[in-house]
Amino acid sequence: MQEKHIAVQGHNLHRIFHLGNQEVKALDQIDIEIYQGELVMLLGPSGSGKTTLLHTLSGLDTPNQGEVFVDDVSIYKLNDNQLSHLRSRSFGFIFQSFNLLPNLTALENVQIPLRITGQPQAKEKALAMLKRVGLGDRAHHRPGQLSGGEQQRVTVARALVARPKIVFADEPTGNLDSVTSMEIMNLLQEMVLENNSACLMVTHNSELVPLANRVLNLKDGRLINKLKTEGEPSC
Amino acid sequence: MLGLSVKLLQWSLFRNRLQLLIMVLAVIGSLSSYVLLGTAIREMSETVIEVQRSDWPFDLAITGNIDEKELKQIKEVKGVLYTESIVMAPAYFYSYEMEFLLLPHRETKLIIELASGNLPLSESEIVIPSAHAMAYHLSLGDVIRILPRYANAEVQEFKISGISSSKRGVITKPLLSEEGLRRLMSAQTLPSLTAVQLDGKIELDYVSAELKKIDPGFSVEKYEDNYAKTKQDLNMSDSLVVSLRFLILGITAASLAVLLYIGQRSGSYQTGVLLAMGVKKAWLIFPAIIQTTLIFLIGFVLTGVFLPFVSKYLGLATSQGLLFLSLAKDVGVYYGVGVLSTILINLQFLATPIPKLMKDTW
Repeated sequence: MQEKHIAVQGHNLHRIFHLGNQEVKALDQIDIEIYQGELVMLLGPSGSGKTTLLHTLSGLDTPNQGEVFVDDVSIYKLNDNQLSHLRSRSFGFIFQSFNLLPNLTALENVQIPLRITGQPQAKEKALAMLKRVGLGDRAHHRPGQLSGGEQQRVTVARALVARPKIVFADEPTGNLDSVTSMEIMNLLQEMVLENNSACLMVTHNSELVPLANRVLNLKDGRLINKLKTEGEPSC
Repeated sequence: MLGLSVKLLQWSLFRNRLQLLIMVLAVIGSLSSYVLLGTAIREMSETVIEVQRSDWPFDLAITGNIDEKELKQIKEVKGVLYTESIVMAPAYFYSYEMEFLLLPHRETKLIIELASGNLPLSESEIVIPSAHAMAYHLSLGDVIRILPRYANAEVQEFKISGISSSKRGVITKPLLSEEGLRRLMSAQTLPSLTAVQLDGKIELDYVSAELKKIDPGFSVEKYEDNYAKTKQDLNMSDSLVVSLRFLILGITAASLAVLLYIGQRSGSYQTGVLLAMGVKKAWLIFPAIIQTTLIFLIGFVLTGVFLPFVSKYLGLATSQGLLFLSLAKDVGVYYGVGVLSTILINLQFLATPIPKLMKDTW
């Protein structure tokens, strides 16, 4: 059996928020590994700490305790520039609210990760990726001129264009109807598989669960069980 | 990355055109109000000091023949603001010796204002100060007798054609026409002195010494009491002007900083996205600084265009050249405040956790 390579690993993660005088444990003693080539879904009620875990694993939010490793490097021991460098080369992000830059066209938005990493032929690569997500003819439209589904396709293209090691998706279908949601998920699954990336996805949508290799449940900041879907990993 | 930075700059400049317009207008408003209000306050304070000077608004008087070249040299002495040729002669009036003044030419620093009557037009007419009229119970049309001070002089009679106003700063010397003054003189040529007004900052002794360098034969009379008071008034006025200008600078610069903050804050969401994607912080600060620079550049040029019109509308006496000079000098202060605010605001944003910037709830 082929050995699975860990893409990102969180060890003993604690994250506490202070709401007035109240202390809220958003993450409580979390240990997690995401392997290369697998799609992991993170489920849980609102406020259970799903997004916090995603942010913590992706280097966007520092835990109060614990460590996150990418390629055996503890990412919170990196300085600002090193962490930015890691995010730009190894991570791709998909957000629920798309987070496209409104004054840039779809093509320009998709070029951003390539420009950050200084890759050659950024425009050509971005256009090819847009064609891949079925938006070749909408490349020069601004986000405001695209539908929600189209905007999320652009976001998927932007997250995957630089072929990141890990894709972090925070409710990528949260603002979409069920048909479009399934389209986006199939696209994401297909492209993650193609890149052999790891994908950690936060979702409320239990209909998407069959697409995951693994499902993790969070409650009150703790992983309460680790479910595994049947069959081969989808990505 | 440079291409992306240019795009980011373009994006931050044009993402909200109304905001951009407001920013440029704020820069124009701040610069204009600082320059124009500052100038107006300075002019006002100078006018007040001018009025506050005594009825003899000069600090030095030079007796002696002064030719054109020497006059030019006198005007070039550091601290000399103004020179005026004054003609007067001493004579006795009710047994008091006093100076009788030739009605000055049109441009004079002396304030001539009549409480009643007319200026002396003929050789037999005189304008007396109100204090004298009250002291000796004199009124318009009365004839007074004046004894010239030269030897064997005969008493001359003059009819009072006017009485000077008793307002502060109005000349307190009797005024005569040229023909009238000649009646008090033995010589054909009228004695003249050159009165000098200083800037209120330079030392009186320094100017006196400089004048002596021009011609050692100059007899220089210093009005030390007058000048000490003017210097004191000017010091106070300078402090007031500086304080008010500082206040205007503080208010307008704070308003600009707030506007910059609002402008930058509206882009914090996108800043968060870019940081998440791995854009280095420095690459986000540079476009913001360039944006501020561009806004100030546009604001500076437009202020320069509008300044002459607004200055004319406000009736400011300061020349356009000096206004532009003040603008050029002051724009640096504002630009400094703008760039500093931009850097501080951006540093504050960049120190904020990325999820908070993106306003994602956990």
